[in-house]
Amino acid sequence: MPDDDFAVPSEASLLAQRVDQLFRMSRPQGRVWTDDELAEHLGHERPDARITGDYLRELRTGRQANPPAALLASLAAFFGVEISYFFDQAHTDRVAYQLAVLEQLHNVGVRGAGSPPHRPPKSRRNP
Amino acid sequence: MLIRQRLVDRLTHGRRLKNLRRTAHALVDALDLPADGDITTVLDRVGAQRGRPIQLIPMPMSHSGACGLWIATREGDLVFHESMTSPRHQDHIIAHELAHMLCGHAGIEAIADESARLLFPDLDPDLVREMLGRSGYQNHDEQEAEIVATIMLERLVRPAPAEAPAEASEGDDAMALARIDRSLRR
Repeated sequence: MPDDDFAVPSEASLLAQRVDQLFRMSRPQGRVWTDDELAEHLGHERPDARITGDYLRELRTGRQANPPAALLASLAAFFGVEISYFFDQAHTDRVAYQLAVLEQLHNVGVRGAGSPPHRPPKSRRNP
Repeated sequence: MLIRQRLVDRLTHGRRLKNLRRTAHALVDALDLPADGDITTVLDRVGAQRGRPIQLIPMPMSHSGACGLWIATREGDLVFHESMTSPRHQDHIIAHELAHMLCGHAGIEAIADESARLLFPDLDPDLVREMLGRSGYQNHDEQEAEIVATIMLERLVRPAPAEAPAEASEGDDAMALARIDRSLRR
């Protein structure tokens, strides 16, 4: 019997899962991003960091276990989450839930959304 | 000269408000609300007029800075409203959102940050907008919706001044239809 059936996921693989989940569920600019596309995008923002698609792939599969904090911060900002998403399971769960709801709303075709202010707005003069 | 311009402005503004009110009355008239109705009656009538179900979703919203939110989907309309407030205030919030539908308001600007934060507190509002695409209201829409909502709620308390008395049987039919419609939806 393979003993990893009962193994508690290590921190490294948890991090990998969380990074991978963002790639799968978050859609910046309304679309899924590949490792290479994101590496290129981040490369424009931080040319000195030299992030490659291969590196991101390794991060998602757990082969790269210790990414620099600055990279995690960039990933969080790019995918629209807080950096604690990577470290706090409760936060991870909330984000996953909200991304799933967002996906469903997108699938049913949201055509409009808005909210009223607390008070009726003051009438405007013609500018 | 300046004073004259101000007078003209005020007159124009007054005329616009008057037009808004006239339109608002016409929109509410078309719902043919019974005097003994309540907010569910309005909900059913607006839903029937649009030919799509409207679902109310009460939730605590105070942290978001908004008290109501309408989301139109292909299948139907969802109205989120503050649950931690008086029933009267809840009715007003719901009426306001229904008024947006009646006025035919569609999103013009992007979904406001507070609306995005309300439903997706842990996501960047920019991401929410990008994943959903567009929507929100302009100030003018807010004013129009508020006027229609107010007239709607007034109408539930006291019937419209009868200009042409409606035929009783017609009203009964409409009420029966609304009842059937309601029971079908449950």
